This record gives sequence, structure tokens and C-alpha cells, in this order.
Amino acid sequence: MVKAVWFDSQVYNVLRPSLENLAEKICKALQNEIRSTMGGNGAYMEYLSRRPGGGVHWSSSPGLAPNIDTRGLYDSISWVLSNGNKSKIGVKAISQGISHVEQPYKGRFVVTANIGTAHPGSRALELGSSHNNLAPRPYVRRGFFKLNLDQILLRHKI
Amino acid sequence: MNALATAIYNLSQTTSNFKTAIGGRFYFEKAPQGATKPFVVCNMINGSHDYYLTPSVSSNNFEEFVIQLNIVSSSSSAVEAGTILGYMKSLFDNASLSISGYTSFPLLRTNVIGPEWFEEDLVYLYYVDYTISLQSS
Repeated sequence: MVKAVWFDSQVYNVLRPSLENLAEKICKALQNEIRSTMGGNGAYMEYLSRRPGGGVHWSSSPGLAPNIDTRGLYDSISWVLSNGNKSKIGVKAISQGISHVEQPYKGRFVVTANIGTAHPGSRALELGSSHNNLAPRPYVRRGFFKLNLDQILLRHKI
Repeated sequence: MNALATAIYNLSQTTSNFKTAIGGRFYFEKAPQGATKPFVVCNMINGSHDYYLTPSVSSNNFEEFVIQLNIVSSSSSAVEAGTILGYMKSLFDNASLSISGYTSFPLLRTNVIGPEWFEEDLVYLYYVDYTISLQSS
């Protein structure tokens, strides 16, 4: 039996907030997962950097996610939804002049989100760089893999 | 996982346009200092178990890996790197790796970024991601 589905603005008005809510939950979870990949003694570096002479930078091993270190990259991981909702951005990122990621495409029938970082060194750390033979230190892709999407969808009753 | 790295290396060394174009220079994690260009460097990005919502333990024997292949070219234009990318696609896309004790599913190209020009080192770079799914038998 063929079932006709009627789609009107009322359905759209019900569906859209639910989808936006789901997208926001996924973004929040992903932001946490990306941050959780980062290692190092960030708090200790914060303490050292406030002392005269500053702290010593310990870079992460090649292949591992970057160390938190000065917190600039950590704080700058952010997301923006197509409806304008956006995550908070950390104090360190603001002090370093780093803003949110760009606003994504805004369409009537799509809900899109941008998640990532606008930190100047973020791309080189994620992908590696020919300059100074920097090996990749993936943190965004690892975050994606750590994300338990099934659980989020189950909680959202989809 | 040494067996996986060996299988990837063996695939790269099969007689093909890809191998000819890079002169067989396929390295893992880091290229030797002053290596002749062009070459390709393979990095392991992620390795994880694939869990499913099934109670059976035997059905949870999938493993998923992500590798990143960097094409490095010192040509004055991006054409050489682009050509190697084309050869790489025809060799790696949907290829199956032979690893004893595992069934390999076709390699999926999940991401291509580039060409990116590095002014300091005068090289072009392509970043290519492949996802490899394995099932232990």
C-alpha cells in the first residue's frame, strides 16, 4: 500500500526544533570528545606560565593529540549551528584573539553545524606540515571516532 | 599493528602507475632526512573497535583504522602531486588488503585536502584519508 505523506509548514515547525536540539547535543558531545583527546599537564603549565621566566613547552609525541599546554587550542574548540546557536569559547582563546568557527550554511530545510577551531596552528597540528617536519597530531578525527553517536540518538529517542 | 602496516606497504609496492610515479618511496610515520621527492608518507590516525548493539561477542570482532597518506612533491606546479593523487585513487580506492586472520573490506577514501603549497619548503602537499575495516576470522 502506498502511503501519502503530507508535508506542510506545521510539520516543519515541529520537526525543526527537534532536529536543532539533536544537532546541538551532538555538537556538545563532539566538542567534549575532541577536548578529551588532548593530553599534557595544562593546569601545571598555567601555573608555570604565571611565574617569572614562564614555563617550558612540552610538545606532544608525533601521532598523539596535542598537549593542552597554554589552553589556547583547547579553549578554541567551538561549534556554531545554522540557527545561530553557538558554544561558549574559553577565556584563553578570547585573550589570544581567537573567535568561533564560521557560521554554517543556512537553509530552510536543513540543519547544519560547524565544529572545529579557528586557532592558527590547528590545521598544522591536525594534518601535519611539511614545515619543520611536523607530524600529524590528530585530535578532531580522534574526537569523531570517540563520539558515541548511537547513545545520543537513543537518548533522543530516534 | 604490524600486519596492517605490511599489507599497506605491500599494496603500495605492487606494480602500478602509483609506484612508478613516486619511485617506490612510500614511508611510514616519517620520511628520511633529505629524501628524494616525490614521496608518500603514511600516518596511522586512529584505530578502534566497532561495537554494535548486539549481545553476541562474536559479532563484535570488527576493527576500524584510519590512515593518512601525505603526497609530497617538490615540483613547481601542483600537477605532479595531482597526478600522483589520481594514481593513488586508482590503486587504493576499494582495494582489499591481504592480512592473515582478517577479512578486509574495501578501502574507503574519506577525505582529500589539498593541494597545499608550503612556501618555506617549496613543496606541494595532498592529505588523503582512508578508512580500513577489518573483521577477524
